[in-house]
Amino acid sequence: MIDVSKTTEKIIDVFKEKGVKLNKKDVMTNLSSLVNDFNMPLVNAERTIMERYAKEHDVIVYAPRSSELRDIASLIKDKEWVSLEAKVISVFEPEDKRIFQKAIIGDATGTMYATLWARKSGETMLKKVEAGKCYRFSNVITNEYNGKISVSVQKNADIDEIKKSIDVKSNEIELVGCLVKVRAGSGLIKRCDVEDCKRTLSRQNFCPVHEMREKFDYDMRIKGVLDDGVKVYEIVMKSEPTENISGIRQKDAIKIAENNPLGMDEVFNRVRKIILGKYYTMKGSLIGDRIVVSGCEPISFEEFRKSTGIKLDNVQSTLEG
Amino acid sequence: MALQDKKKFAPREVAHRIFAEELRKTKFSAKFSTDEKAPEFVITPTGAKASRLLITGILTNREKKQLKNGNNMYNLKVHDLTGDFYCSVGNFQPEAMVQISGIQKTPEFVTIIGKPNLYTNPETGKIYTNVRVEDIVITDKETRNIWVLDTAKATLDRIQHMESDTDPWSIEVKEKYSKIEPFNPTDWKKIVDITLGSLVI
Repeated sequence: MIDVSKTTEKIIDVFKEKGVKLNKKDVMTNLSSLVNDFNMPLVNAERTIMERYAKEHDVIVYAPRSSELRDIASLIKDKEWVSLEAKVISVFEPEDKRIFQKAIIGDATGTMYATLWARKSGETMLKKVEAGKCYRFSNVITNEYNGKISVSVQKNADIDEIKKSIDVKSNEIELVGCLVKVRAGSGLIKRCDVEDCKRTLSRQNFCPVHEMREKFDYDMRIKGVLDDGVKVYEIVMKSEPTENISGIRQKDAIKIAENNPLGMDEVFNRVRKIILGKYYTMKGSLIGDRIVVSGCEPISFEEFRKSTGIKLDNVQSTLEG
Repeated sequence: MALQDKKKFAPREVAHRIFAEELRKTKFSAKFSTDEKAPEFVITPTGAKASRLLITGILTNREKKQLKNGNNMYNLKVHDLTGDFYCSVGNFQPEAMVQISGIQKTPEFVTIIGKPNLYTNPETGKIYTNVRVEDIVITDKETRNIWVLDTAKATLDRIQHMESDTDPWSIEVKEKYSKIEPFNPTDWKKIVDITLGSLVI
């Protein structure tokens, strides 16, 4: 027999706050039946019982904030109810209407994606989270997809801003390797002109959210693969390093695109000819499964030689000897 | 369905750095998964397991051939200081066809990213290697020299790994090649040294 008296007290307290007095014996019998007769895990039984009484008395209650406060790095299992204190690093406006916001959050141990699901009317509305601020995410659930863990903020979760500063683990990395693939969507691109959107437009100037755009902003980037012979890294390079290593400024790229029958494809071809198969040192941060590159320099023979530890003077002497 | 499909999506294979001399001596290949679309890996004498190569060298020959169906294909020869890579571009790589048609003159420094294949001459039974080009671009001498260093380092690392007597993969590769040409670290190190030496001169 699993003892349910503690959980019973908790449920009664939650409802007392809402001005509803529950029969203790009643609650305990129901809870005990689910846990001991039907073998339902206590956490789930607690939620089931609370939902039943909430409906019966027409009040809105959420499962108590019992989920444990955890570090991001410790989250490795799927479908775990947890709480986090984390800083919002960046926020994306979602393409899907069912999603309220998508954010990258981080604490001292790591970073991860958080999905804030949209709520129906009648449910407590979420306030939008802002990049740079710190929040306590209570009662969120982990979600595993493609081997990566993210958290899902559902209707019984809370997000409260906290007035403390959280240092996010640096995910800055430096890589040396050969750019072995330049993917479509590199070179000159068009972005949606709507504030906070900035999505890449298709050939027909179509934004997945705001549909046909007559106005748009130009941008330059490189999507590709950096390969060091041991591992491959999917990279997305920002406009400044893209201009630097391709030697094509955005204003010149626009001219090329406007005066050429191939348009932006001509820019793609020219950029690819210059950068594909070259060795670079890239600085960037790991976000999700790709590296957002903010700095990139071609590596010289001498710099590369130093990084391999190969000594050429020795080679010569062994040959002579 | 979409979720499951995405999960199956195989991660990109690394482009291995191998000298032409080593690829010439490569006589084995294998699949390491029962999946129909699983890539074929060549197994080289120093134990590289490669389904993609990064090659930089001098394009010395570029031969256009018309196939019976009217399509074109190119056979390429790329010299890397140790020997020649034999590469081909066909209509199944439309991007590479555009790239090679723009490279008119030889000799020229080029970088190739491609997939190595083994094939057997049905008459002589000899095994040859060929690289199917995915991308080819004109490059410069500095990049070629960096590639030689990179490939030298990778080859030395593989030789060191092969010298282990306990690593199961090293044992397997040595066993495979024992009847053709037993693994000799000194010979391989010498090839690397000579190649690096030609960078200095």
